[in-house]
Parts: sequence; structure tokens; C-alpha cells
Amino acid sequence: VPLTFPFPLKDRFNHLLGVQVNDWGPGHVTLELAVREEFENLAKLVHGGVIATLIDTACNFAGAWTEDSGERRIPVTLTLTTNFIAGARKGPLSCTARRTGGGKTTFMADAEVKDGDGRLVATGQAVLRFVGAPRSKR
Amino acid sequence: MTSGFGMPFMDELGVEVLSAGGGRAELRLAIRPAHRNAFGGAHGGLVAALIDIAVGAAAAIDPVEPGLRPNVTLALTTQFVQPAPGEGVLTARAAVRGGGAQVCFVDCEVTAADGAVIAVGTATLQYARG
Repeated sequence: VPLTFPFPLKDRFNHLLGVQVNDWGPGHVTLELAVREEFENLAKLVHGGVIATLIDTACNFAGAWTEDSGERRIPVTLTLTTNFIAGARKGPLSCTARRTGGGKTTFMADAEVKDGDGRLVATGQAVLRFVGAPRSKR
Repeated sequence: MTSGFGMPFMDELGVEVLSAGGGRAELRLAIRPAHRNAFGGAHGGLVAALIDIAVGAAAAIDPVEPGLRPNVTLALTTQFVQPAPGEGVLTARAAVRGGGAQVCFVDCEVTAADGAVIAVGTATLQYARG
């Protein structure tokens, strides 16, 4: 059963697309997104912008987990790289991301997106940062 | 609202093509409340989507050959230079930097209404066969 969207209602763009959080834990997350006609590009495939959003959001979640939900902070993305491996038509899309490294303020995450048949359609990498975080000791 | 390009996702986001030709494209997007992230600014996914659409439009209008050239994005890297505003208009300007008969490289810059650069993107695209 999908969790309700755990981020503030202010995150309207993920609500618009309909992104759901299926599994969220320390350093990892799996998101799911039902495919709609409005997502199509001219080739009638899911637009790359939808997939990039999914990867961006998953990489954010992967690094944002804390045991105490009151301590959770939301990172911002500094750089996002997406490789579009195959066209996606059939949903739901599933995006799994994991934190690969980094520190308290800046971290890196990898993500992969599969279509409704379990076929790999995209991979991504992001560098993210908690803004307003206390500076680490030098 | 429709983009006139018949692309559902452009219409969904409200992306307009201001000009395209000679390997360049200029697109515009009015930020709506539904486009915002948890900080109240335009979501990075929206900005990445705008860049993806813009690089595709720039590559679709061939500098030499007449007619539209359908293409797909192979890879896109976006640097979110500064936070995007939560309202107003975003402008994306994309330009083909090079490439060959099958693949091309396109850069894109996204500016806010005050002219501040909020994101830059670089993409590798492949022209559709046939």
C-alpha cells in the first residue's frame, strides 16, 4: 500500500504528476508513478521531463530519511544527470534511488527507472545539498 | 492551452515556443502554483522538463536541412545554478553546439523574469531514423 506523500503539501509538482512513495528507508527509496496521456511526447512515449522529475525526487528522498520525522530536512538538487536508455510507454513507472555517499551537508545519489514490464528505461545521478545546514568543522 | 506542437506534456505544463530555427529555440513557461516544490519555488523537475523540451526543439529545426527533424534525448545534465522563483515566467534558450548526421549536442540556459540564470543544461540527442 503506497504511503501518503510524506513531504509538505507545498511540493505541488509531485502532486500534479501523481508521484507516490512506496518504500522509504535509510539511504533508499522507491517511488511509483502511473502513466497518463498528458505525459506523452511526440513519439507517444513518456516525456523525459517526467522521468527526470521522478529521478530528481527519488534522489532527494534517498538522502532525506531520518528515523525521527521531526528532524527531516529537504535537500535541494545541485546537479542532475539523466540517461534515457529506452522509451517508456507502459506504466506504472518505478524509480529506485540510493544514497551513494557524501557528508552531512552534500551528498550523491543514483537512481534507476523501470517501466510497467520491469524494463530499465532510465538511470540518473544527482548531487544534492541541505541548504542552511550548519557548516562542518574544517 | 495548447503548444501548437501537439505534444501533450508541453500542453500539460503550459510551455510555449517563442521562436525556433537555425539550430536555436526560445521557449517560455508561466510558473503555476502546481509547479512548485516544497520551498515554494519552481520544481527542479519542471526546469529539467523545460530544458528537455527546449533542446529537442532546437535540434528539431535543422540549421541546414528544411523541415522538422524528430529526435530523442539520450542524456541530459542540469545544473541548478540558483533557486527558481515560484511565480512569473521562465525563459529557456537552447542552441545546437555541434554533432553529426545522427547525434547532436545542445546547450540550454533558463532565466527568470528578472534575467537571472537559474539553470543550465547540456544534452545529447539522437535524430529519429527514417
